[in-house]
Amino acid sequence: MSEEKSLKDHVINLINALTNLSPSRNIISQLILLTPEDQVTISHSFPEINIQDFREVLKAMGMMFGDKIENMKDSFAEAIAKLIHKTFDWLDNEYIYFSSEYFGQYGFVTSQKKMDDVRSHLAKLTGLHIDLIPNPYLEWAKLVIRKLSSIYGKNKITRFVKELLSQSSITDRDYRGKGLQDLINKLGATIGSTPPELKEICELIIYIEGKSEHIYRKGSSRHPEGDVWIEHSKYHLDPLLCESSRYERYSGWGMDYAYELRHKESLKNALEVEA
Amino acid sequence: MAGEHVEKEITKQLSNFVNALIALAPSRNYVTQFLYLIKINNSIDYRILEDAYPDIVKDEYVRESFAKAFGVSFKDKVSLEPGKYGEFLIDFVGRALQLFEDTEFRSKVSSLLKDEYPQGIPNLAQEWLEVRLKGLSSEPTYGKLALKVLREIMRVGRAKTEELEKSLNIGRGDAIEATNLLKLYGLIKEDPYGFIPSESLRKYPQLLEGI
Repeated sequence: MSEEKSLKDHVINLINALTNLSPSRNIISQLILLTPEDQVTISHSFPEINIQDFREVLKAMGMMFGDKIENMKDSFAEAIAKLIHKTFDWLDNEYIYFSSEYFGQYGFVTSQKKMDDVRSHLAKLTGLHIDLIPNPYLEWAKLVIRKLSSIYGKNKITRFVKELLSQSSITDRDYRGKGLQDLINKLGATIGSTPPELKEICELIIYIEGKSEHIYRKGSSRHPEGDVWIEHSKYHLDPLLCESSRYERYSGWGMDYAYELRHKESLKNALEVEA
Repeated sequence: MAGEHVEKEITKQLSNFVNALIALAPSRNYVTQFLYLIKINNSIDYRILEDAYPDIVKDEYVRESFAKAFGVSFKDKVSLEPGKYGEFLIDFVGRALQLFEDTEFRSKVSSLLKDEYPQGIPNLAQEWLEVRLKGLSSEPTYGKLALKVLREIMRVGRAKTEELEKSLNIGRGDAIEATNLLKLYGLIKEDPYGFIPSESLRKYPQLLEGI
């Protein structure tokens, strides 16, 4: 075996291992990702957790079983949940990072960037066609869309996601949430849902209030200050990235909020497959 | 019958999950091994990695793709770029090594997967130490000397370069080369009072005897 082939094998093994840890391939990862959740709900969807030996393994990984099932803070279960999110982003060319560059008199300026060419580089390293590199996010999105279509109807879910993907920009000035609420109203009008149903679908696909993941605090005294979050949804499709920027106005300081859509291409592909 | 089916399904799912974690271990995967060694050293001299991992470092095309895919900076020193996936992945691999070191986890998983792992699932942290010790012993130039130095550091618990020179009757240059090699493999640590064995070596000293 040549050394080059050996490296290819190792990269393929690594990608396969990461893919096998994703929720589309494994119920342990699904369980970890979908908590916290009521014991009754989980037991209904995953009867496996009622087997004592299996439950003991999950406990050893840091899952807690009470009325609610949840992952202990700083446990291995929590680490797996983070790995799943990061691998979703990495193998879908959506991995976000922050880099500081030195700009002379302006000092170090931090900017948000994306590892947006990962799949192509992995194709080069493995010799595989780019479409054969597994995409755990796409696999998961297909499963979620199929499941939600079976509950709410295919037509409704398809129109909801299509309308979401057609948005070019969502912004709020000073009050976080207004632009987002306008979008949700628009989505509701498109699919003709009742307010409770609309709220449910939004939480499953777009975001759950209070579940934002703060990923970075940006800026300095010379550059706009603000924060960057990923909004988490129940099924972790997490299509929204929110960025706030502080700006100066006549009456004092204000805050701009801009939402960017993530995983657009994969969500579009997932819809096409399900069509 | 339904219970039997559920149990079979659990075994299958658990096996898939555990095997994926095992496949990520630096003792089993060349990519995580490369990234892990950089992580424990903060950065490694380009020339050292060019010799040790030629298939990643030598070819410009491969090196560039590897750098872009995982977030590795190849300059005179090779390091993991902060915040990128390679750095994140290696932190996770560290957590997986800790999990597989936990005897409670291993025994619970092993009892469910006894057909697949009759000897029990591996302790990946111990396995990774074993791989590093074997790698060190096969190092062509200073490998044997480094092992001798390591045994001396283990014997006394802490040693300075001068003390190693005296007790092993070796020159300053050889002592420095050997300790550099040991640091590279993450087998010793240096503090202001000298060199001490790494935590993993203190946990599994019997592995050194087996080399």
